[in-house]
Amino acid sequence: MSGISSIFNIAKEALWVNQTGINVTGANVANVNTPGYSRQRAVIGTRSQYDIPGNMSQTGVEIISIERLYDKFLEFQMVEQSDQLGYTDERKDSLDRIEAIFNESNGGGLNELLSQFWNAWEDLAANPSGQTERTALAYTSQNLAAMFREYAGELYSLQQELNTGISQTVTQLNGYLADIADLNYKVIYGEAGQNNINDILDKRADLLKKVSDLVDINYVETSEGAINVFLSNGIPLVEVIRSRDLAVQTNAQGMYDIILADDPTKNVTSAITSGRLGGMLEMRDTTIAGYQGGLDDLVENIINEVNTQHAQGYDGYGNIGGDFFEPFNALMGARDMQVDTSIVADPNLIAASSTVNDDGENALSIGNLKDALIMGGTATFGDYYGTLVGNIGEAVAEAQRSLSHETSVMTQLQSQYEQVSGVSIDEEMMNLMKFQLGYNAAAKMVTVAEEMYTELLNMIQR
Amino acid sequence: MRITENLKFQMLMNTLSLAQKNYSLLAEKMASQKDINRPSDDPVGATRVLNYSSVRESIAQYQRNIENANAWMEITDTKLESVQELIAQAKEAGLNDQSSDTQQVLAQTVGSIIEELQSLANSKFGDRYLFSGSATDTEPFSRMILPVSASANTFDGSLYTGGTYTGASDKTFTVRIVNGGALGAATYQVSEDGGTTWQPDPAGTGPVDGTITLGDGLTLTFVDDGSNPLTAGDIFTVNAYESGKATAPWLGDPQAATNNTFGGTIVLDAASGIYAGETNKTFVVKFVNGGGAVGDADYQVSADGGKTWSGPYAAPWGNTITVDSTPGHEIVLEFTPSGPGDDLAENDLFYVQAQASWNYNGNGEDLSVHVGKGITSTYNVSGDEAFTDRGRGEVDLFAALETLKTALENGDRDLVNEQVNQLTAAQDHIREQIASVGARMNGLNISKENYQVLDEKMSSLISDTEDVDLSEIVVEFQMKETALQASYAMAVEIGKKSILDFLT
Repeated sequence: MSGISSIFNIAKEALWVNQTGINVTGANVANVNTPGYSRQRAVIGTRSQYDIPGNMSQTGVEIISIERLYDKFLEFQMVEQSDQLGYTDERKDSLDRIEAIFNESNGGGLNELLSQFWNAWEDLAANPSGQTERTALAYTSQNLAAMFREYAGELYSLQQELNTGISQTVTQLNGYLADIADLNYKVIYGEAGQNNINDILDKRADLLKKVSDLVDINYVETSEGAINVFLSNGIPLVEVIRSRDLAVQTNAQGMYDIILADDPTKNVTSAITSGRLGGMLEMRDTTIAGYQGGLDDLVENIINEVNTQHAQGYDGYGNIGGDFFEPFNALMGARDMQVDTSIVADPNLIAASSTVNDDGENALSIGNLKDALIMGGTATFGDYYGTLVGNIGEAVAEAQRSLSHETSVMTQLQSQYEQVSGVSIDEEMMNLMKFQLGYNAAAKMVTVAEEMYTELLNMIQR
Repeated sequence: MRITENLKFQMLMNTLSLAQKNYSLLAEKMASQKDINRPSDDPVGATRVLNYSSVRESIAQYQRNIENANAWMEITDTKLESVQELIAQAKEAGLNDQSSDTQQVLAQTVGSIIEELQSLANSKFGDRYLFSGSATDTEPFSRMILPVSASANTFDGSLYTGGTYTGASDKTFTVRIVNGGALGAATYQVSEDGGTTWQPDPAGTGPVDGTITLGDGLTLTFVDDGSNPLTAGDIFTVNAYESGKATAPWLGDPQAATNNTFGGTIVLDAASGIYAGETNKTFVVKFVNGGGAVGDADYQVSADGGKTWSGPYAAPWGNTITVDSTPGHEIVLEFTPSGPGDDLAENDLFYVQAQASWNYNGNGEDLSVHVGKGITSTYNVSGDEAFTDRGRGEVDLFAALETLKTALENGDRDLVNEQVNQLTAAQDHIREQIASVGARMNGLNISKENYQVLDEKMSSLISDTEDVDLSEIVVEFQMKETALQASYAMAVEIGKKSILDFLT
């Protein structure tokens, strides 16, 4: 037979459980807009009580746990997707900037200047002793060289920016890795209470996505609840409670390689093929380097061909033509294209003539280079440049397509994640009403029990 | 499906940003009126547009070239037509009744025709001479001081005048052979007043080496390249003009290019003969293989101003280089260093202008421009071709006219008739030139019209590739605008709705 006091006990438990339910609902409502927050739920279970005098049992209630709702596999997919998204986003950003350099849609770019350059030679051929034509050619050539320098210079500074960005990203990554190791410690040696564990798990999941956004990783969860993080080639970055820093080291090209901070001989650059860091590395070492190579190639050929033909002719003073452009600078490439300073100072040094008697035939021969299939023996200078611009356009278009694809995949995953782990105000309001009702009912039980006691005592006094 | 607050707002955001993106893309196209605003909008199209623009730039240049060439040829045509008329007038003078009363007047007429012709042949297009070949800065023709051999003369060798006339006014020199004989044996007399008074040969030994002194700086040279020697009674007339030029071949002083390292002197060696070429030439010596001291540097020689080279010729060569080895007419350059260590460097250039025995100072080179990809068109008629009997020319027009004038003055009917025939041949030849210029102009005009059509086609291709279809884009723009407005309205409505509105 159960006593009145046990009614008090059950009511007390019910009050407490419902109050906790309201607490959890409160936490969910409060965090409705918190990124990375997984909604929580109070898991309520029955609890049996035994009365000492008899065998009669009574069923009470208790909070078994505060559960964090999330989907482990979805989480894994999102981490995977983060590196793809980071990689494509980084590529698109850089390619957009490259495209802006090479955008000739409004004219006034290299293509137009190249045409003007060849045309200026034709004009000079028509009037080889004309000072106007000579000066015009000298100016046009300087403009052309300056435009090449500008294009190549902008590519170069973009490359330098990416290089700096790589170093900064490595620092950022190290911070995240250390945080994951720290959270691993807290999960394992859980000094924190139940509530805090959920919070820590949320934070750690969020950090994993951030790490993956930067670099492609693999991770496994150990039986004790820690998460171990590895680079794509298996080098561990976080092992239980210990994280391993990455560092940068300048290589022969003057660019940063990524190495292990505790083992500078371990170059892990090639293991990073995705994530923002992978995107930066690819842009810096392959894409931009490729476009630079294209410009350099074009400039080298223009300089060599023009100079060779120029040396076949004679200037206004009857001298053999000197250099028209300064010789190609293999180190600086297109960034150092210059018209020979003596030509700038005295356009009469332009060797327009094929004889010492000042005809215009050599200028005509140089003008002919416009249509010569010089680049690879199959393309004119203009064709080559057009193809370069087309390739850049194609790369940007491709990057845009893959970014919008990766983004929509991520959006899809996020909405799935929201469906599982997001907070719904509708749901929380219903829970609030539910727990409030439960609380009210439990309170009523206390009143009834109290009345029962009073009744009992009154019986004795009578 | 469990719809959470975040999901709801996220979906709204996605719809909004998509609508915004579409809207702003179209707004950009509306503003620029272009479908391709950056290469990635249509990589293939963008490349094509670049290609088309280059083609248009080339077409514009070809058109400009054709216009210039046409303008040049139009002027050439006009000038040659005028030349035709002048020749006709000169012929008329030659065919006219030539009594002793009229022949001096006729001679004067021919004299003024020569002057007019001279200025026609020296016409300019802008600041470039029309008829000097590729040496467009050089005045092509100077007045000829031409020795005329009377038609009755026995002597059939050639002759030319030399020196520079220093007389104050035009003057006529007459040379009469007193005693015939081979060069060096015959004796002569000279008259400075058209045969009224005669001065005997002062030395009385006859024309030494064929060259005699006329006076006022002029000389007359007989060349024994015929079969009959000088004979008593042979008469030679030389009309000397103030600004005239003797017909003797002439070699300029050797020139050094300004970039040369060699600082010494270079002169024509005494072994040099008289230039014997038919046309004007520029001989060039270029040092190769790193140069070296005088006599120790390998060199190349060019006879066409440096276009093509013979050699290289290896050292040693002492201190002289022969640039023209025609026997008896060698052109030899002598190098003298300014001091020890004054070496010849690679690419040191030295050149000599050689002028043939005529009054033409230009060259026989073509002037050409590009009128298409890999197609050049010659637009000039060189002076030697139009007015001389050398190079591509057929009749020495100025010599014929000068001879005609002298013959009229001297009443030498046979010589007059001969020159009239020459002038007829000259007319025919110039008519050919005019026809050729006309044909070339026609050809270029056809090209020009083709280019106009091609340019329009290119421009419409560019427009097709990169321009927007305005009506299409306006409709599309309105659709996107409506979509954007709807998205906004929906976002606001959905954002407002909540269970809280119903809780009391």
